[in-house]
Amino acid sequence: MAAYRRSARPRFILLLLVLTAITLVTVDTRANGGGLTGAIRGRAHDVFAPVQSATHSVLRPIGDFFTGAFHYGSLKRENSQLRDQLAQARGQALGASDAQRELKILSEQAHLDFVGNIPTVTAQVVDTTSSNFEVSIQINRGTGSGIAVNMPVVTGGGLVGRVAQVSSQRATVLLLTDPTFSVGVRLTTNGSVFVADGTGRGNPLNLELVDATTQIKTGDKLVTSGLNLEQYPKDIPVATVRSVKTAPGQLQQDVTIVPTADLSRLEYVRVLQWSPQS
Amino acid sequence: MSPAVLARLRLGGLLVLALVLQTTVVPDLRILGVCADLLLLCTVCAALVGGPELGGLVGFAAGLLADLFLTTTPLGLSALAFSVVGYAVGSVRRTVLQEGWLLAPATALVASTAGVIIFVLAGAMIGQSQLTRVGPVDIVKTALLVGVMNAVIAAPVCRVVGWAASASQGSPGSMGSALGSAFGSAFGGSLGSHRAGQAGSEISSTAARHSSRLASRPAHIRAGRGGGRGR
Repeated sequence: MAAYRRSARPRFILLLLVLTAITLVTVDTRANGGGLTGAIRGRAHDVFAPVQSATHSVLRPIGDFFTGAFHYGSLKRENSQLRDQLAQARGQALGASDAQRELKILSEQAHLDFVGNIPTVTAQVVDTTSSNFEVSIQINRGTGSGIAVNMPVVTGGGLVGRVAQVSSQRATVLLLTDPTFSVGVRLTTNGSVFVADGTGRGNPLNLELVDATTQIKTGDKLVTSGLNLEQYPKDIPVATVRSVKTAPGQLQQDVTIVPTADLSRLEYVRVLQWSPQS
Repeated sequence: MSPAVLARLRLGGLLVLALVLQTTVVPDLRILGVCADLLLLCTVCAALVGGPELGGLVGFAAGLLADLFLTTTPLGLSALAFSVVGYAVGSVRRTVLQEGWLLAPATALVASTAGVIIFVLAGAMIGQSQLTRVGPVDIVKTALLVGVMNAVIAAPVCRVVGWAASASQGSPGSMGSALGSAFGSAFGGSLGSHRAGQAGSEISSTAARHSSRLASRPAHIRAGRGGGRGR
Protein backbone atom coordinates (compact mmCIF):
# COMPACT_ATOMS: atom_id res chain seq x y z
CA MET A 1 0.00 0.00 0.00
CA ALA A 2 2.85 2.33 0.91
CA ALA A 3 4.54 1.67 -2.41
CA TYR A 4 1.31 2.47 -4.20
CA ARG A 5 0.99 5.78 -2.38
CA ARG A 6 4.58 6.74 -3.16
CA SER A 7 4.03 6.54 -6.87
CA ALA A 8 0.42 7.72 -6.98
CA ARG A 9 0.83 11.12 -5.36
CA PRO A 10 3.26 12.76 -7.80
CA ARG A 11 1.22 11.30 -10.63
CA PHE A 12 -1.93 12.81 -9.19
CA ILE A 13 -0.22 16.18 -8.91
CA LEU A 14 1.05 15.93 -12.49
CA LEU A 15 -2.49 15.19 -13.66
CA LEU A 16 -3.75 18.21 -11.73
CA LEU A 17 -1.06 20.45 -13.23
CA VAL A 18 -1.62 19.23 -16.77
CA LEU A 19 -5.38 19.76 -16.47
CA THR A 20 -4.84 23.25 -15.06
CA ALA A 21 -2.47 24.08 -17.91
CA ILE A 22 -4.91 22.80 -20.52
CA THR A 23 -7.69 24.84 -18.93
CA LEU A 24 -5.51 27.96 -19.08
CA VAL A 25 -4.62 27.26 -22.70
CA THR A 26 -8.29 26.85 -23.57
CA VAL A 27 -9.36 30.00 -21.75
CA ASP A 28 -6.56 32.03 -23.34
CA THR A 29 -7.18 30.67 -26.83
CA ARG A 30 -10.88 31.54 -26.54
CA ALA A 31 -10.11 35.02 -25.19
CA ASN A 32 -7.84 35.48 -28.21
CA GLY A 33 -5.22 37.59 -26.44
CA GLY A 34 -7.77 39.71 -24.56
CA GLY A 35 -9.93 38.88 -21.56
CA LEU A 36 -8.62 37.89 -18.17
CA THR A 37 -5.46 36.12 -19.36
CA GLY A 38 -4.56 39.07 -21.59
CA ALA A 39 -4.99 41.40 -18.61
CA ILE A 40 -2.77 39.15 -16.47
CA ARG A 41 -0.05 39.21 -19.10
CA GLY A 42 -0.29 42.99 -19.39
CA ARG A 43 -0.12 43.44 -15.62
CA ALA A 44 2.93 41.16 -15.43
CA HIS A 45 4.70 43.20 -18.11
CA ASP A 46 4.06 46.41 -16.17
CA VAL A 47 5.19 44.93 -12.87
CA PHE A 48 8.41 43.58 -14.35
CA ALA A 49 9.17 46.62 -16.53
CA PRO A 50 11.30 48.57 -14.01
CA VAL A 51 13.21 45.46 -12.88
CA GLN A 52 13.91 44.51 -16.48
CA SER A 53 15.12 48.00 -17.35
CA ALA A 54 17.48 48.04 -14.38
CA THR A 55 18.80 44.54 -15.08
CA HIS A 56 19.34 45.29 -18.72
CA SER A 57 21.18 48.54 -18.12
CA VAL A 58 23.48 46.82 -15.63
CA LEU A 59 24.11 43.69 -17.71
CA ARG A 60 24.03 45.09 -21.25
CA PRO A 61 27.88 45.03 -21.52
CA ILE A 62 27.74 41.22 -21.28
CA GLY A 63 25.52 41.01 -24.35
CA ASP A 64 27.63 43.55 -26.19
CA PHE A 65 30.81 41.64 -25.37
CA PHE A 66 29.22 38.39 -26.54
CA THR A 67 28.06 39.97 -29.80
CA GLY A 68 31.51 41.49 -30.31
CA ALA A 69 33.26 38.19 -29.69
CA PHE A 70 31.01 36.16 -31.98
CA HIS A 71 30.73 38.66 -34.81
CA TYR A 72 34.19 40.21 -34.71
CA GLY A 73 34.94 39.65 -38.39
CA SER A 74 31.68 41.09 -39.67
CA LEU A 75 31.88 44.08 -37.32
CA LYS A 76 35.37 44.91 -38.56
CA ARG A 77 34.28 44.65 -42.18
CA GLU A 78 31.24 46.75 -41.47
CA ASN A 79 33.36 49.36 -39.75
CA SER A 80 35.58 49.83 -42.78
CA GLN A 81 32.54 49.95 -45.07
CA LEU A 82 30.98 52.60 -42.88
CA ARG A 83 34.16 54.68 -42.91
CA ASP A 84 34.11 54.53 -46.68
CA GLN A 85 30.45 55.52 -46.82
CA LEU A 86 31.02 58.34 -44.37
CA ALA A 87 33.76 59.79 -46.53
CA GLN A 88 31.50 59.66 -49.59
CA ALA A 89 28.58 61.12 -47.70
CA ARG A 90 30.66 64.06 -46.49
CA GLY A 91 31.45 64.90 -50.07
CA GLN A 92 27.86 64.59 -51.18
CA ALA A 93 26.44 66.52 -48.26
CA LEU A 94 28.09 69.69 -49.49
CA GLY A 95 26.33 69.51 -52.83
CA ALA A 96 23.07 68.15 -51.50
CA SER A 97 22.01 70.74 -48.98
CA ASP A 98 20.14 72.87 -51.48
CA ALA A 99 18.44 69.89 -53.12
CA GLN A 100 17.47 68.69 -49.67
CA ARG A 101 15.70 71.92 -48.85
CA GLU A 102 13.73 71.69 -52.06
CA LEU A 103 12.85 68.06 -51.44
CA LYS A 104 11.64 68.87 -47.95
CA ILE A 105 9.25 71.49 -49.21
CA LEU A 106 7.99 69.18 -51.94
CA SER A 107 7.43 66.22 -49.66
CA GLU A 108 5.67 68.39 -47.13
CA GLN A 109 3.29 69.52 -49.81
CA ALA A 110 2.63 66.14 -51.35
CA HIS A 111 3.08 63.92 -48.27
CA LEU A 112 5.57 61.82 -50.18
CA ASP A 113 7.02 60.54 -46.95
CA PHE A 114 5.35 57.15 -46.47
CA VAL A 115 4.12 58.00 -43.00
CA GLY A 116 2.23 60.99 -44.39
CA ASN A 117 0.15 62.76 -41.77
CA ILE A 118 -0.53 59.73 -39.59
CA PRO A 119 0.34 60.59 -35.98
CA THR A 120 3.27 58.54 -34.66
CA VAL A 121 4.78 57.61 -31.31
CA THR A 122 8.52 57.11 -31.15
CA ALA A 123 9.56 54.31 -28.81
CA GLN A 124 12.80 52.72 -27.70
CA VAL A 125 13.36 48.99 -28.06
CA VAL A 126 14.02 47.67 -24.55
CA ASP A 127 14.12 43.89 -24.94
CA THR A 128 13.96 41.22 -27.59
CA THR A 129 11.81 38.15 -27.08
CA SER A 130 12.89 35.44 -24.65
CA SER A 131 11.44 32.78 -26.94
CA ASN A 132 13.12 30.74 -29.64
CA PHE A 133 9.91 30.37 -31.62
CA GLU A 134 8.55 33.87 -31.94
CA VAL A 135 10.19 36.99 -33.30
CA SER A 136 9.18 40.06 -31.32
CA ILE A 137 10.54 43.05 -29.44
CA GLN A 138 9.38 45.01 -26.40
CA ILE A 139 9.15 48.78 -26.60
CA ASN A 140 9.00 51.27 -23.75
CA ARG A 141 5.65 52.84 -24.64
CA GLY A 142 2.18 51.48 -23.97
CA THR A 143 -1.48 52.45 -23.74
CA GLY A 144 -0.34 55.49 -21.75
CA SER A 145 1.21 56.88 -24.94
CA GLY A 146 -1.78 56.04 -27.10
CA ILE A 147 -0.55 52.72 -28.46
CA ALA A 148 -3.13 50.04 -29.23
CA VAL A 149 -3.02 46.48 -30.50
CA ASN A 150 -2.55 46.03 -34.28
CA MET A 151 -0.95 49.44 -34.89
CA PRO A 152 1.76 49.28 -37.57
CA VAL A 153 5.36 49.81 -36.47
CA VAL A 154 8.00 51.29 -38.81
CA THR A 155 11.54 52.62 -38.90
CA GLY A 156 13.13 54.85 -41.50
CA GLY A 157 13.83 51.66 -43.45
CA GLY A 158 10.21 50.60 -43.73
CA LEU A 159 7.70 48.29 -42.06
CA VAL A 160 8.97 46.50 -38.95
CA GLY A 161 5.84 44.77 -37.65
CA ARG A 162 2.69 45.38 -35.69
CA VAL A 163 1.76 45.81 -32.03
CA ALA A 164 0.65 42.40 -30.76
CA GLN A 165 0.21 43.10 -27.05
CA VAL A 166 0.05 46.27 -25.03
CA SER A 167 0.12 47.14 -21.34
CA SER A 168 0.18 50.56 -19.75
CA GLN A 169 3.97 51.02 -20.04
CA ARG A 170 5.10 48.38 -22.52
CA ALA A 171 4.09 47.00 -25.87
CA THR A 172 5.17 43.86 -27.68
CA VAL A 173 5.80 44.28 -31.39
CA LEU A 174 5.59 41.19 -33.57
CA LEU A 175 8.20 41.50 -36.30
CA LEU A 176 7.71 40.84 -40.02
CA THR A 177 9.71 37.63 -39.84
CA ASP A 178 7.54 35.98 -37.16
CA PRO A 179 5.89 32.82 -38.51
CA THR A 180 2.42 34.18 -37.64
CA PHE A 181 2.97 37.42 -39.55
CA SER A 182 1.49 38.17 -42.94
CA VAL A 183 1.04 41.43 -44.80
CA GLY A 184 -0.53 42.41 -48.12
CA VAL A 185 2.11 43.85 -50.44
CA ARG A 186 2.20 45.46 -53.86
CA LEU A 187 4.98 45.21 -56.41
CA THR A 188 6.09 48.76 -57.22
CA THR A 189 7.08 47.85 -60.80
CA ASN A 190 3.65 46.75 -62.02
CA GLY A 191 1.20 47.02 -59.13
CA SER A 192 0.50 43.28 -58.70
CA VAL A 193 -0.73 42.44 -55.20
CA PHE A 194 0.47 39.49 -53.09
CA VAL A 195 0.63 38.29 -49.50
CA ALA A 196 4.02 38.09 -47.76
CA ASP A 197 4.47 35.57 -44.90
CA GLY A 198 7.12 35.51 -42.19
CA THR A 199 9.04 32.25 -41.82
CA GLY A 200 11.09 32.70 -38.67
CA ARG A 201 14.01 34.61 -37.20
CA GLY A 202 16.61 35.69 -39.76
CA ASN A 203 14.81 33.91 -42.62
CA PRO A 204 13.54 35.74 -45.72
CA LEU A 205 9.78 36.15 -46.11
CA ASN A 206 7.81 34.09 -48.61
CA LEU A 207 5.68 35.73 -51.25
CA GLU A 208 2.48 33.79 -51.79
CA LEU A 209 0.43 33.19 -54.91
CA VAL A 210 2.84 34.60 -57.49
CA ASP A 211 1.62 33.01 -60.71
CA ALA A 212 4.05 32.00 -63.42
CA THR A 213 3.20 34.86 -65.75
CA THR A 214 3.96 37.66 -63.23
CA GLN A 215 6.97 39.78 -64.19
CA ILE A 216 9.11 39.82 -61.06
CA LYS A 217 12.87 39.86 -60.65
CA THR A 218 15.54 40.10 -57.95
CA GLY A 219 15.81 43.60 -56.51
CA ASP A 220 12.18 44.61 -57.14
CA LYS A 221 10.64 46.62 -54.31
CA LEU A 222 7.46 45.76 -52.42
CA VAL A 223 5.29 48.17 -50.43
CA THR A 224 2.17 47.64 -48.32
CA SER A 225 -0.86 47.30 -50.57
CA GLY A 226 -3.32 49.17 -48.34
CA LEU A 227 -6.27 47.35 -49.84
CA ASN A 228 -9.66 47.56 -48.19
CA LEU A 229 -9.52 46.43 -44.51
CA GLU A 230 -5.79 45.74 -44.75
CA GLN A 231 -4.09 46.25 -41.38
CA TYR A 232 -1.46 48.64 -42.72
CA PRO A 233 -1.69 52.00 -44.48
CA LYS A 234 -0.71 52.19 -48.15
CA ASP A 235 2.82 52.50 -49.54
CA ILE A 236 5.05 51.64 -46.56
CA PRO A 237 8.23 50.00 -47.91
CA VAL A 238 8.27 46.35 -46.84
CA ALA A 239 10.87 44.28 -48.63
CA THR A 240 13.10 43.69 -51.64
CA VAL A 241 12.91 40.56 -53.78
CA ARG A 242 15.87 38.31 -53.04
CA SER A 243 15.26 35.28 -55.23
CA VAL A 244 12.80 34.11 -57.86
CA LYS A 245 12.55 30.46 -58.85
CA THR A 246 10.18 28.83 -61.26
CA ALA A 247 10.18 25.08 -61.31
CA PRO A 248 9.33 23.66 -64.77
CA GLY A 249 5.64 22.88 -65.07
CA GLN A 250 4.72 24.83 -61.93
CA LEU A 251 1.89 27.34 -61.98
CA GLN A 252 3.48 29.49 -59.30
CA GLN A 253 6.87 31.09 -58.80
CA ASP A 254 8.85 30.60 -55.63
CA VAL A 255 9.72 34.12 -54.44
CA THR A 256 11.62 35.07 -51.27
CA ILE A 257 11.92 38.67 -50.10
CA VAL A 258 14.04 40.39 -47.43
CA PRO A 259 12.73 43.24 -45.25
CA THR A 260 14.09 46.69 -46.10
CA ALA A 261 14.28 47.59 -42.40
CA ASP A 262 17.20 46.02 -40.51
CA LEU A 263 15.29 43.87 -38.02
CA SER A 264 18.36 42.51 -36.25
CA ARG A 265 19.44 45.86 -34.87
CA LEU A 266 16.41 47.88 -33.92
CA GLU A 267 16.93 50.64 -31.38
CA TYR A 268 14.15 53.13 -31.99
CA VAL A 269 10.90 52.48 -33.81
CA ARG A 270 7.85 54.55 -34.69
CA VAL A 271 4.36 53.30 -33.96
CA LEU A 272 1.78 54.63 -36.41
CA GLN A 273 -1.46 55.50 -34.62
CA TRP A 274 -3.50 54.07 -37.40
CA SER A 275 -6.32 51.61 -37.68
CA PRO A 276 -8.08 50.32 -40.83
CA GLN A 277 -11.17 52.42 -40.07
CA SER A 278 -9.36 55.74 -39.83
CA MET B 1 9.04 31.95 9.65
CA SER B 2 8.75 28.24 9.11
CA PRO B 3 11.40 26.48 7.02
CA ALA B 4 8.80 25.35 4.49
CA VAL B 5 7.74 28.90 3.76
CA LEU B 6 11.37 30.00 3.51
CA ALA B 7 12.19 27.28 1.02
CA ARG B 8 9.14 28.14 -1.04
CA LEU B 9 10.06 31.82 -1.01
CA ARG B 10 13.61 31.02 -2.07
CA LEU B 11 12.43 28.84 -4.94
CA GLY B 12 9.91 31.46 -6.03
CA GLY B 13 12.52 34.18 -5.86
CA LEU B 14 14.89 32.06 -7.90
CA LEU B 15 12.26 31.55 -10.60
CA VAL B 16 11.53 35.29 -10.73
CA LEU B 17 15.26 35.99 -11.03
CA ALA B 18 15.48 33.43 -13.84
CA LEU B 19 12.53 35.11 -15.57
CA VAL B 20 14.11 38.56 -15.34
CA LEU B 21 17.39 37.26 -16.77
CA GLN B 22 15.55 35.29 -19.45
CA THR B 23 13.64 38.35 -20.65
CA THR B 24 16.58 40.77 -20.57
CA VAL B 25 20.11 39.43 -20.92
CA VAL B 26 19.70 35.88 -22.21
CA PRO B 27 18.15 36.93 -25.58
CA ASP B 28 21.30 39.02 -26.21
CA LEU B 29 23.34 35.82 -25.99
CA ARG B 30 21.95 34.05 -29.02
CA ILE B 31 24.00 31.57 -31.01
CA LEU B 32 22.58 30.83 -34.49
CA GLY B 33 19.44 32.68 -33.43
CA VAL B 34 18.81 30.43 -30.43
CA CYS B 35 19.15 31.30 -26.76
CA ALA B 36 19.22 29.19 -23.58
CA ASP B 37 16.05 28.62 -21.56
CA LEU B 38 16.74 29.32 -17.88
CA LEU B 39 13.21 28.53 -16.72
CA LEU B 40 13.30 25.11 -18.35
CA LEU B 41 16.72 24.55 -16.81
CA CYS B 42 15.42 25.50 -13.34
CA THR B 43 12.65 22.93 -13.81
CA VAL B 44 15.14 20.20 -14.72
CA CYS B 45 17.37 21.06 -11.77
CA ALA B 46 14.45 21.17 -9.33
CA ALA B 47 13.38 17.73 -10.56
CA LEU B 48 16.93 16.41 -10.09
CA VAL B 49 17.07 17.77 -6.57
CA GLY B 50 13.55 17.12 -5.38
CA GLY B 51 12.00 14.33 -7.44
CA PRO B 52 8.89 14.17 -9.62
CA GLU B 53 6.54 16.12 -7.37
CA LEU B 54 8.77 19.16 -6.93
CA GLY B 55 9.79 18.88 -10.59
CA GLY B 56 6.20 19.02 -11.74
CA LEU B 57 5.26 21.91 -9.47
CA VAL B 58 8.33 24.00 -10.25
CA GLY B 59 7.86 23.19 -13.94
CA PHE B 60 4.30 24.48 -13.81
CA ALA B 61 5.29 27.69 -12.04
CA ALA B 62 8.33 28.28 -14.30
CA GLY B 63 6.31 27.59 -17.44
CA LEU B 64 3.56 29.96 -16.35
CA LEU B 65 6.12 32.72 -15.74
CA ALA B 66 7.65 32.08 -19.17
CA ASP B 67 4.19 32.16 -20.77
CA LEU B 68 3.53 35.63 -19.35
CA PHE B 69 6.23 36.96 -21.67
CA LEU B 70 5.26 35.10 -24.82
CA THR B 71 2.93 36.60 -27.37
CA THR B 72 1.86 34.16 -30.05
CA THR B 73 1.37 31.04 -27.93
CA PRO B 74 -1.46 30.75 -25.37
CA LEU B 75 -0.89 31.12 -21.64
CA GLY B 76 -0.29 27.67 -20.13
CA LEU B 77 1.46 25.95 -23.02
CA SER B 78 4.94 26.20 -21.49
CA ALA B 79 3.44 25.34 -18.10
CA LEU B 80 2.08 22.15 -19.62
CA ALA B 81 5.35 21.19 -21.32
CA PHE B 82 7.59 22.10 -18.36
CA SER B 83 5.52 20.28 -15.74
CA VAL B 84 5.63 17.12 -17.84
CA VAL B 85 9.42 17.50 -18.21
CA GLY B 86 9.83 18.13 -14.47
CA TYR B 87 7.79 15.08 -13.57
CA ALA B 88 9.60 12.86 -16.07
CA VAL B 89 13.09 13.95 -14.98
CA GLY B 90 12.14 13.52 -11.34
CA SER B 91 10.86 10.00 -11.93
CA VAL B 92 13.86 8.93 -13.99
CA ARG B 93 16.24 10.47 -11.48
CA ARG B 94 14.82 8.25 -8.75
CA THR B 95 15.14 5.00 -10.61
CA VAL B 96 17.71 5.20 -13.39
CA LEU B 97 20.30 7.96 -13.13
CA GLN B 98 23.56 7.70 -11.22
CA GLU B 99 25.08 10.42 -9.07
CA GLY B 100 28.16 12.09 -10.58
CA TRP B 101 29.54 15.34 -11.92
CA LEU B 102 28.08 14.59 -15.35
CA LEU B 103 24.56 14.12 -14.02
CA ALA B 104 23.38 17.72 -14.20
CA PRO B 105 24.78 18.62 -17.66
CA ALA B 106 23.73 15.34 -19.27
CA THR B 107 20.22 15.49 -17.85
CA ALA B 108 19.90 19.17 -18.81
CA LEU B 109 20.96 18.37 -22.38
CA VAL B 110 18.46 15.58 -22.89
CA ALA B 111 15.60 17.06 -20.85
CA SER B 112 15.87 20.57 -22.35
CA THR B 113 15.92 19.20 -25.88
CA ALA B 114 12.90 17.04 -25.07
CA GLY B 115 11.19 19.98 -23.34
CA VAL B 116 11.43 22.21 -26.42
CA ILE B 117 10.13 19.42 -28.65
CA ILE B 118 7.25 18.69 -26.25
CA PHE B 119 6.39 22.40 -26.27
CA VAL B 120 6.28 22.47 -30.08
CA LEU B 121 4.30 19.22 -30.39
CA ALA B 122 1.80 20.23 -27.69
CA GLY B 123 1.43 23.59 -29.46
CA ALA B 124 0.89 21.91 -32.81
CA MET B 125 -1.80 19.71 -31.28
CA ILE B 126 -3.80 22.71 -30.08
CA GLY B 127 -3.52 24.44 -33.44
CA GLN B 128 -0.44 26.64 -33.02
CA SER B 129 0.69 25.79 -36.54
CA GLN B 130 3.28 28.60 -36.65
CA LEU B 131 5.48 26.54 -34.30
CA THR B 132 5.94 23.80 -36.88
CA ARG B 133 6.06 26.08 -39.93
CA VAL B 134 9.86 26.32 -39.81
CA GLY B 135 10.09 22.58 -40.56
CA PRO B 136 11.26 19.57 -38.54
CA VAL B 137 14.97 20.15 -39.21
CA ASP B 138 14.89 23.66 -37.76
CA ILE B 139 12.83 22.55 -34.78
CA VAL B 140 15.29 19.78 -33.90
CA LYS B 141 18.22 22.17 -34.45
CA THR B 142 16.66 24.75 -32.13
CA ALA B 143 15.86 22.12 -29.51
CA LEU B 144 19.39 20.69 -29.60
CA LEU B 145 20.97 24.15 -29.32
CA VAL B 146 18.78 24.94 -26.31
CA GLY B 147 19.83 21.58 -24.83
CA VAL B 148 23.54 22.24 -25.35
CA MET B 149 23.39 25.79 -24.00
CA ASN B 150 21.40 24.68 -20.95
CA ALA B 151 23.87 21.83 -20.38
CA VAL B 152 26.77 24.28 -20.31
CA ILE B 153 25.27 26.26 -17.43
CA ALA B 154 23.51 23.33 -15.74
CA ALA B 155 26.02 22.55 -12.97
CA PRO B 156 25.99 25.95 -11.21
CA VAL B 157 22.22 26.39 -11.69
CA CYS B 158 21.62 22.97 -10.11
CA ARG B 159 23.70 23.94 -7.10
CA VAL B 160 21.69 27.13 -6.64
CA VAL B 161 18.36 25.32 -7.03
CA GLY B 162 19.58 22.64 -4.60
CA TRP B 163 20.39 25.34 -2.08
CA ALA B 164 17.03 27.04 -2.55
CA ALA B 165 15.04 23.83 -2.14
CA SER B 166 16.92 22.50 0.88
CA ALA B 167 17.88 23.80 4.30
CA SER B 168 20.43 26.49 4.97
CA GLN B 169 20.67 25.35 8.59
CA GLY B 170 19.81 22.07 10.25
CA SER B 171 19.42 18.84 8.34
CA PRO B 172 18.45 19.06 4.68
CA GLY B 173 15.92 16.35 5.26
CA SER B 174 13.58 18.30 7.47
CA MET B 175 13.50 21.23 5.09
CA GLY B 176 12.76 19.20 2.01
CA SER B 177 10.07 17.29 3.84
CA ALA B 178 8.47 20.45 5.12
CA LEU B 179 8.54 21.84 1.61
CA GLY B 180 6.87 18.71 0.34
CA SER B 181 4.09 18.85 2.91
CA ALA B 182 3.59 22.55 2.24
CA PHE B 183 3.14 21.93 -1.47
CA GLY B 184 1.08 18.93 -0.62
CA SER B 185 -1.33 20.88 1.52
CA ALA B 186 -1.50 23.69 -1.02
CA PHE B 187 -2.21 21.54 -4.06
CA GLY B 188 -3.48 18.22 -2.84
CA GLY B 189 -5.38 19.02 0.31
CA SER B 190 -7.78 16.15 -0.26
CA LEU B 191 -4.98 13.65 0.13
CA GLY B 192 -4.71 14.31 3.84
CA SER B 193 -1.75 15.28 5.92
CA HIS B 194 -0.43 11.79 6.46
CA ARG B 195 0.21 11.14 2.80
CA ALA B 196 1.52 14.62 2.28
CA GLY B 197 4.07 14.12 5.01
CA GLN B 198 5.08 10.81 3.56
CA ALA B 199 5.61 12.26 0.12
CA GLY B 200 7.47 15.12 1.75
CA SER B 201 9.94 12.77 3.33
CA GLU B 202 10.31 11.14 -0.05
CA ILE B 203 11.31 14.43 -1.63
CA SER B 204 13.64 15.14 1.23
CA SER B 205 15.48 11.90 0.67
CA THR B 206 16.57 12.93 -2.81
CA ALA B 207 17.37 16.43 -1.62
CA ALA B 208 19.54 15.03 1.11
CA ARG B 209 21.18 12.59 -1.25
CA HIS B 210 22.01 15.36 -3.65
CA SER B 211 23.29 17.92 -1.22
CA SER B 212 25.15 15.77 1.26
CA ARG B 213 26.71 13.37 -1.26
CA LEU B 214 26.96 10.78 1.45
CA ALA B 215 26.11 7.16 1.03
CA SER B 216 22.44 6.90 0.28
CA ARG B 217 21.47 4.72 3.22
CA PRO B 218 22.20 7.18 6.07
CA ALA B 219 20.71 10.00 4.05
CA HIS B 220 17.51 8.04 3.67
CA ILE B 221 17.35 7.28 7.34
CA ARG B 222 17.99 10.89 8.26
CA ALA B 223 15.44 12.05 5.74
CA GLY B 224 12.89 9.67 7.15
CA ARG B 225 13.31 11.09 10.63
CA GLY B 226 13.28 14.59 9.21
CA GLY B 227 9.96 13.82 7.58
CA GLY B 228 8.53 13.02 10.98
CA ARG B 229 9.78 16.27 12.45
CA GLY B 230 8.75 18.37 9.50
CA ARG B 231 5.19 17.36 9.94
